[in-house]
Amino acid sequence: MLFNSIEFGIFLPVVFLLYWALRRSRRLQNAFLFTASAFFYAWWDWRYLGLVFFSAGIDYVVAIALERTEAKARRKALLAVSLVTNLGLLGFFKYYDFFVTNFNEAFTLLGRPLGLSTLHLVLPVGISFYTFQSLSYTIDVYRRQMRACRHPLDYFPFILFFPQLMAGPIERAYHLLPQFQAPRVFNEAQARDGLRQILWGLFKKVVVADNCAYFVDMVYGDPSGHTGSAAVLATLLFTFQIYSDFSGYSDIALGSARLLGFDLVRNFAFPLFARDVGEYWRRWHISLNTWFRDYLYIPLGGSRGGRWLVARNTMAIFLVSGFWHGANWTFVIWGAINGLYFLPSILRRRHRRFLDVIAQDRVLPTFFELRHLVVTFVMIAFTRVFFRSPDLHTAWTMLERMFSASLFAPLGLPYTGYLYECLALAGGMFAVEYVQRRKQHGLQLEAGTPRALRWAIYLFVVAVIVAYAPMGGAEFIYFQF
Amino acid sequence: MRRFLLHALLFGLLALAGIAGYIWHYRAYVPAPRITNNISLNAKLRMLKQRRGQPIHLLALGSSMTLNNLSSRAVLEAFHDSSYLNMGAWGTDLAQSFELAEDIVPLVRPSVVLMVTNLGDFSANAERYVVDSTRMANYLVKWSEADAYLHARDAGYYLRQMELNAVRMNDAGNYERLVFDPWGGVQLNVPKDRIDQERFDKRPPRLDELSEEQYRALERLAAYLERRHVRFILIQSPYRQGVRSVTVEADVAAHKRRVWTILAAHGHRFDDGTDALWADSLFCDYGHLNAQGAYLFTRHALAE
Repeated sequence: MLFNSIEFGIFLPVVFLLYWALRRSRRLQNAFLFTASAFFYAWWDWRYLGLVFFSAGIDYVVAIALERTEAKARRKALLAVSLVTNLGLLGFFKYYDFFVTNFNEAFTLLGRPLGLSTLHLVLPVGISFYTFQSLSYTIDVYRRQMRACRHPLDYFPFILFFPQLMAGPIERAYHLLPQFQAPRVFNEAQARDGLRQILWGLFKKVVVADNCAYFVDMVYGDPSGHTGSAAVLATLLFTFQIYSDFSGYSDIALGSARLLGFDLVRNFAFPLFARDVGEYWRRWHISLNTWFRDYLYIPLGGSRGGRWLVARNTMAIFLVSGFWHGANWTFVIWGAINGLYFLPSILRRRHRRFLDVIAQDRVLPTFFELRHLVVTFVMIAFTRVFFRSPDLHTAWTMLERMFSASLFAPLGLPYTGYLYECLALAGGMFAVEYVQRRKQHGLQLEAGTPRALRWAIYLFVVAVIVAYAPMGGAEFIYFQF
Repeated sequence: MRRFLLHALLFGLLALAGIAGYIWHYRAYVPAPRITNNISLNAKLRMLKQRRGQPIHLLALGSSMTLNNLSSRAVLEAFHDSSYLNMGAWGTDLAQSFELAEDIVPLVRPSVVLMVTNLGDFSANAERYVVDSTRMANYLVKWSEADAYLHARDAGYYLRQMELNAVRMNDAGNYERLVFDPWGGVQLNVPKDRIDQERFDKRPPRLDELSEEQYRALERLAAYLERRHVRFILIQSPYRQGVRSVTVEADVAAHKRRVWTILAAHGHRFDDGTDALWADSLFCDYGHLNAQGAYLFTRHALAE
């Protein structure tokens, strides 16, 4: 079930009403959330529901077993069971065909063809997200950073929680699990803000991302048939599209959870206003980046040790992060370029230069900030060529077009009126988020704002969504990961 | 909680009232059920559904070349038969026309199929629409109109297209005009001052930009109609005088030879609309004729 579908528009209010009708019993609420979440997932493909249960079930049992034993070797073995099961499933469904294809090609080059056949498996939606969430739970229990959860009606809804099941945020057990173990009280202010966040998320997804997608798909679908200027524009539009798509999804997820009395971790903190790559990565897909920091970067040694060790660790998390996004060399290159961007600043210990918000105490950024913002935006947009291209050939063709004389040729794209509308919509979102950059989301209005004005703004956003919603609801990009 | 629910309900009702007002305003322009993702074909399917049971001896298939350049008046004059339906729709390439013919011809059982094409219909089509035969058959035979809307529910599509349809139906000088004559034809009447210069100056695709798949589709279509004993007349649509050059002429000649060979092998007829010069004033762009041009062209082509 997509967040931007009529079905979800019916599902969420029904779940909301039934869930709060059961507020006298926390366990009943959890049981209901578990059922609703399973239904939500099964709406996409019920056959893969078993996979979620299996993955979560293994970690449930492993965590309890970890708590019952003090023997080091046994604890390590139990953790290995969780890691092998979870990463094995992820590897099989997501990377099997990739490795088989690459092994076949490599051995064919060496004159010893393997002839292994690919399986063309359908990637279970959300597997990269719930696997990491479930893994973080067993690792934390193994590290004795938290206690194992005994009650299945606390644990399973935590893994299956529908707002974040498909594409995160990747929650940590220490943050979300206690919320399932505590009674919930309806908080009107929180619920109201949840609705606003859903509305803003829908605007970003349906209005900005899905409309920009039209031109992005057109150019990336036939890069050699377009000019360099069109390639540059499509890449800039994709930078807006991917941000609006994924952060829009996260906004809807956070808003839906808040309606049910849950507080999910923030996944995006206006990364388009980042002033360097370090700041960008602190503001983009926060839940995944902190996951890699805590479970990969720091165990590898983090930024302690010599320069080479720091460089190795940095490149490792960026390469793994790239590979996490998809079984394709384009993602690995995307990760590598980002790693290379980040290396100079971390080696010079300048990666935490910008910890505050842009134009912290001013209306407009300083020239220094603006210059850094533009440079960072262009650098990040460049990496998106690899992120968006379905293969290396497409990426190469896009770059060839961008760096050819046709960069200065007219765009040559059809429907210029619609193109300007898309640019205006993306610009509008950019402007609103700039104004709201100190808040949690674009529609978080000041408490003192008159109700009539607030409602007029909400109704305006609804009207724009209705007017600009493209035909058919497009899937969220991050569902493919 | 009660206050929150009340406010949420009130807001929901306000938003719904806004949407309802919008729908009411554009109620006359609700598009046909979304059976395919081509709005003009959907409108044509609805027209065909409404004419089920009535004989259709002459059936026209194809792209906007058939939709806009085939004058219904000239067809009726040439065939002296009013049991005619133009099923031409925007963006229908040869491969799709073949798929459509396979779905529609058995239902309609025409004795003649007409088609107007130019080189563009044979080029690789980047924006192909999906022809789902089962869905189409269900719509034409089984589903009521209300059922069809339920099966093809897509609120975003209907809301967006209502507004666009209002322009397509009220603005006579629009390139996307979708007001059909009783036989399904649409003649364009774009005033001189509203001619889109980019469209007007556009060059026809080069020979190497044409797709083998489209020629194979024409071959399959010709064979299919031959098997069903349906006479097939394909008419080559002209380009305006201003875009005709030595290169264009050579490409068109080579293309015509190939099309003629395919049709002749199956005993079908090829009418050439490019054997005369067509003044720029008869065109709305490089290849779409205006009403006067369409009438003169159709009469000329069918008279041969």
